[in-house]
Amino acid sequence: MIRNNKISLFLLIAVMTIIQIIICDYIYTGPYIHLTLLPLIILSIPGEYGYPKLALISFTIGLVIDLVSDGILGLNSAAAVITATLVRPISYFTINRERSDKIERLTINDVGFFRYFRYSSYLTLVFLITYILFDCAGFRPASFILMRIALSYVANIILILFVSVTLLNKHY
Amino acid sequence: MRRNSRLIKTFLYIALFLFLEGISIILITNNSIIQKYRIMGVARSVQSFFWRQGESIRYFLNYKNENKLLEAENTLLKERILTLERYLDGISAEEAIASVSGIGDYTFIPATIIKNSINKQHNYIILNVGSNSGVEEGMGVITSWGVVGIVEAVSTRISYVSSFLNTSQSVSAKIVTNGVFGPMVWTGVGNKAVVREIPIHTEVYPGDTISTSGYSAIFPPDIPVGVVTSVDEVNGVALEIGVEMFQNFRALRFVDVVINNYSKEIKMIENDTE
Repeated sequence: MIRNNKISLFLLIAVMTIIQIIICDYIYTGPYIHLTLLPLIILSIPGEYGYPKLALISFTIGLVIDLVSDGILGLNSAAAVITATLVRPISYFTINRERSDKIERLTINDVGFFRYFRYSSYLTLVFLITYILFDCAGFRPASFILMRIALSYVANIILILFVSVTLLNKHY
Repeated sequence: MRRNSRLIKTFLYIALFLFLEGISIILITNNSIIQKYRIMGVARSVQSFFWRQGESIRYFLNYKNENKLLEAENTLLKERILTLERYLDGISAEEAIASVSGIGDYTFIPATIIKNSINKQHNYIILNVGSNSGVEEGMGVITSWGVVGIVEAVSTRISYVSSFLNTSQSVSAKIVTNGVFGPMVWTGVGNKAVVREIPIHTEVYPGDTISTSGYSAIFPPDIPVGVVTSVDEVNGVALEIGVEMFQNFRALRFVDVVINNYSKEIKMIENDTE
């Protein structure tokens, strides 16, 4: 049963990775919005894995997306590794240490909507700031970068909450 | 024990993070020119900040030696002024003008060293002046105590100098007493150099002074470079002269970049004859 659940979860992660590749390659959201499922994929990786596994899986998924999609190699993996590194500290800060350690994977049902919203917001922001800074810093004006972070955050948090409510709100 | 294992774990996590992030950044820099220049630019500014701080500390600690060097340089300049004054007193105004007509062959750009490597076989120096100050590739770098190197690359604000402490670099040097010249190269150890291809019949003794010959467009002539420490015969056909250089590369901070005012004409003539 547990094994089947794990397979389902990893299938879901695989599907989200494929959707992310499709988003990168075929969906043009304009210069100001970067749509990404990577923070959500990182959120879906079971907490029991510990940091090394989480970082390696995040890095690999980021790299696969970079390799397959038509972007700059290393951009998604750089942002994914930083996000994976901050998953634990952010969950301790937004939820609480005991609860975070007890729950295998945080869902809206487990921690409540507002805590989950704060938790996923911070992670999404970490991902987007890293990604957009590596992508634009130095040759785009600060106003463009800030606008891109803000608009991408709004678009992504809506997407993440929607997927979290519909697909990830149960323990696989 | 538990605390130690936690410490090791934290250290390993940090190492893993840096490793994965490092790979990602390398991939980014190798796959996008814009990101490459941006990231390298940031890395270089961080690096040059630490270089400047390191050099300032080194300079502060070296204050005493620096003062001694400046004192010695001052004395040398005073002696030269006195010699010139005595010389000028004994000649007419026309002769004086004629004798100084050679002045102006070279002009100098004062520079400060912000990075100086001395422990490698191919050492380099970074100067705080670049093309904005008039520095160009191929210019020589000197102090009053000898040859320092040749400018290899120039950006707007800094220059990369291939140091004389470089086993593949040679400078044309001459024995002051008789004017016989040959290529001088660093031996790879400390402040020692050798002057090669000196004819076997040349009279040269330990203690003789070696200076630049001026037979290149890069360095002015007659800059004292070092003193002869040994004279060895090579295959019975030439002499190899061991030289202890005057310039202490460890205490190097202020240098002059040499502009040969006739270098363009020299190059033009060289190109024509080729």
